[in-house]
Amino acid sequence: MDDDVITIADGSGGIKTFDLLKNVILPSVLSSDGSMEDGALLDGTDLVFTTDSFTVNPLFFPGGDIGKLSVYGTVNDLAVMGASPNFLSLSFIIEEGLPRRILDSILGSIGRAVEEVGIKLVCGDTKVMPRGGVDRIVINTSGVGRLISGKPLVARRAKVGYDIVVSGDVGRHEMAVLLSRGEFGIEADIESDLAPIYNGVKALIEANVGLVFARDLTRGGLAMALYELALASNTRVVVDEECIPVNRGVVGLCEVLGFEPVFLACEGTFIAVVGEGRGKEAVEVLKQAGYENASRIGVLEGGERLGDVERVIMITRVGSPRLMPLPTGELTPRIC
Amino acid sequence: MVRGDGLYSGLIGDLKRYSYIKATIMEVCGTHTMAISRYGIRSLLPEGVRLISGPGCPVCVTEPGAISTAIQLAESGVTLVTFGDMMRVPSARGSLYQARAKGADVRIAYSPLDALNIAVNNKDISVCFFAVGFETTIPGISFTLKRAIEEGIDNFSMLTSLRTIPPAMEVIVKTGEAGVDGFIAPGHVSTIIGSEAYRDIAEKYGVPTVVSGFSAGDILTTVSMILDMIESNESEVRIQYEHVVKPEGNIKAMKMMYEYFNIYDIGWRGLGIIEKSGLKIKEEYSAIDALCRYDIEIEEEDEPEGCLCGDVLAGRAIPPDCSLFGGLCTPSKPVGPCMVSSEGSCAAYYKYGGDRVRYTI
Repeated sequence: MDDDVITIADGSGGIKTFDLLKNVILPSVLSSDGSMEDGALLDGTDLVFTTDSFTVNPLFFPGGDIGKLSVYGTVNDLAVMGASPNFLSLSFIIEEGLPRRILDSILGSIGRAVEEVGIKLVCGDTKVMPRGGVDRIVINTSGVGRLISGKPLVARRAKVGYDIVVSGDVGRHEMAVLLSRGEFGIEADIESDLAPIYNGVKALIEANVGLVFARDLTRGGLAMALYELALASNTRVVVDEECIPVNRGVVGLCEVLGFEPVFLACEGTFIAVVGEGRGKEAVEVLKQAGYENASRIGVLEGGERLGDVERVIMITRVGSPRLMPLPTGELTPRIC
Repeated sequence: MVRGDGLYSGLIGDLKRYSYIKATIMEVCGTHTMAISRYGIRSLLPEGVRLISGPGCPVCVTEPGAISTAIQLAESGVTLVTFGDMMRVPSARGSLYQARAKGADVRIAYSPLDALNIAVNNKDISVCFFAVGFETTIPGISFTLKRAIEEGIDNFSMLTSLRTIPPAMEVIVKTGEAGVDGFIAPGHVSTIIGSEAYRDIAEKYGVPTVVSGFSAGDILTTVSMILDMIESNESEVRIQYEHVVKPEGNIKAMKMMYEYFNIYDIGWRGLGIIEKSGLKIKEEYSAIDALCRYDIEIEEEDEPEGCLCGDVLAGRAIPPDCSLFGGLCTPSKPVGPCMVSSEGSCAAYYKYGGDRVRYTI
């Protein structure tokens, strides 16, 4: 049985996507090792470049829509590299038959998001595909920003002893989107956390709490971000389950559906690695900046001679250690 | 995530009392398997107390031939609908995910009624629901059959691989291969069949059995109740999950189960054919049985080479005993079903570390 076709799990943002990128895509197109960060510092400049494509079903969900998502998503990828949002490209691939009012509504939302973050829209493209050629609309945005953190915020700068903080509760975006598809027949008052996070990252940079790394918790959620951090910095991440903020509604639904909140994507929540013993201070800074659920969740420990899967330890609420699982693929609710 | 915070230190302290006992306790149900790993329960138990997993993961015990048959149906143009966990289980014909990626119409449903609704809303396609599960899901599957039959939805059929838990528990203690000294009986299954369903097993084979809930506190309490019976040489059926499970179960749901299904002998991965442990659609309703409608059979299929899933499901091995575990077999490239399912023992060990988490608080 060979992996002769691409499956949904390959694009889920979990370990399969990581493998596809690391073992298939990067070696085929790059001559040197590619970094797995959210953006790239352009040689000889202080400019950071990033790109992302957006597809979401449904297009409009509680707390946002694909338009807002495609602006904030790229702004957030710049922010976690330590860059301000300066320039944005915007491209659409649209399916024949998409109602104009839907496009208008998405465009309105993009306009408001662009204005809110103060990024300059500089170029774009529009293609229309025959019916069935694409699912309604796919949006790509690329962003260029100026580094405000001195050095780029990258995982390999994280060292043993540094503190890990999270800016808010995890898992709300993906749960809101899943519920709004109506497939579970469950209605709950859960809104996506979709938001730009630039002000949070900027506040941490300006507060001099020793910020070296940030990552927005998109596909693969908190778990994937922590694994990538541990692997790239060759450390072991130890987090305290009790300190990870999760919305009560999300906790309940995860129990019913058999999901882990730490696997679910967020769109306005990030982790930050700050200097040794600076976590508490960083949390205060984030709270001041409006991230009221910010929390210090753990610390980096020595990670020599560890297997990949042993790199993230979670101390459960019962007080026992266990591994934080690696997200593997498409979310599938349990049946028993 | 965990209910009843604050109770744990007391519970964990109480368990220390049993540190002289050597016992192997089997958690039958896959949801318990997952919860035990997720809460790191093993590291809180006395040295001599081992927890092993049993056959209560529906996806895992489904015979590999049934999955091949489902794929065959999907490839022939039937819209195949099933539970998500079934999608990634490998068979001789690959997995349902791969069949879908190659163009077959395979869809995930969260309940059997969702599958029926696909048929109702799409009269131009033939929909087959691939139903696997135990007593927990069977009443819902029966209800779906009832509706399909009563409403004459003729583009809907079912491929079933349904099982009942107590016969498998009996085989495990009868053969004695797993050396089980106590059972953590399934909570959800027991809401349907009641705790009395295990009385014969507990008494005849001298195995203390406790029906447990799923929180960390529930499981710790259950282990303590079992150890208490072992200590005092009792072997009864007790209920820890008492606000949910009744001794007699849910009589209405059980009636519903047997309205459309007959008991027959069915094969279990790892345990072989177990007498009177399966449920198949009654002959009078054979028109809705996919095996009859499409004139196909579930053929016997070998286990994947080197895979110990069968032994893990029977309690004869634990996941790290398997030479494929964690290397050639991982959740993203599973060889056997126990590494696929969100209730599978290998997946639980791989994800949460089982008893091999090398970390001291």
